[in-house]
Amino acid sequence: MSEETRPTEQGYIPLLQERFGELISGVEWVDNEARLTVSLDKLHDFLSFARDDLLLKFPADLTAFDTGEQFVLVYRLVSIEKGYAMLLHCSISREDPVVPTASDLWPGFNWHEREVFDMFGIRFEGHPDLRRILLPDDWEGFPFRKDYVSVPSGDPLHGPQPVDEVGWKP
Amino acid sequence: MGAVEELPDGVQRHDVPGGSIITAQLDSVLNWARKSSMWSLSFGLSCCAIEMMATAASHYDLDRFGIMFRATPRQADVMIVAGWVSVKMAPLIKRLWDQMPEPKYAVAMGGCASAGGPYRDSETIVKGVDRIIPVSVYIYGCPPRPENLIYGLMKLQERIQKEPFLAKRRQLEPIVVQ
Repeated sequence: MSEETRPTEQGYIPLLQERFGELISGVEWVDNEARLTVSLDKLHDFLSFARDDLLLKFPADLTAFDTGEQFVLVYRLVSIEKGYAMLLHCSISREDPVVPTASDLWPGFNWHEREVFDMFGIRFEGHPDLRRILLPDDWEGFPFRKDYVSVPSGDPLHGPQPVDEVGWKP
Repeated sequence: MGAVEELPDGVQRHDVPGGSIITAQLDSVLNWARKSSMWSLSFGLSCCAIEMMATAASHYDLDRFGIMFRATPRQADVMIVAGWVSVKMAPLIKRLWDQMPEPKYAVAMGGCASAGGPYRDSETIVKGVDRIIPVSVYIYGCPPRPENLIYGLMKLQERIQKEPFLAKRRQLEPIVVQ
């Protein structure tokens, strides 16, 4: 198949490239959704563009992962009107993980951001109530970080519990 | 009420002109009343709670044992810990247990409450509720069948009937249902 006859379906990607140009990278259009990486500098502008201009109004998911060198935030946004979606990655430094909140755009992301904070320690600037959501409030450390080490506290009412004492395996 | 077919230990029936009277040890009567009204604290932690609810519903009918679920620890005699105990939940269970008046009994229902179950390799799961509160009955299963739960509770009833209620109570070995 030559270049000319390949399907040229690009969805809303030209709109993004026109508006954000160099700030986005790794763009591809798969299964009716755009997959791309955006720079942290313009993350909030990008998200508000996605919501207001691309009509990606449904906040499907917000999570993160740790590559060892950096954290990567993962947003998944869906447009029910338009029938398309977006999978958005955004890399953050591990030393000072601070990103602008998206809970002002989608209130539904409030708890997602609390969970990401709980597990990775990524701080969301402008979040109305950024505290732990799953772990106890006095938990130390962020368990989903690659360098997290749990030290049993020896107290069943507080802190990490001992793991696998009897060698039980599934 | 019909005639009591089987009198508890220590209760004797004497025929007298015009009817009958019973004499009994006070312990025996009090224990008979207590074991017939083991009110349980109404809370569940995970999937074992579904089985506990099934046991309480009409098919298995815990009410016929006098076991009714109370929504406050002040009125409860038995705490059925139905499910895993996370570190976040543990202080709350401890507080509920402390709020229950004596005499009180804890039932560890299923593998998680007894020993952590399949979550033994998690740092956020307390490896058995007996690390927080004293447990009287351990019930095996994942989750235990209603019959298993009922058997454990009936074993607890047997123990309550034998308890020296007015004397100082001993700390007894827990019952293990297998």
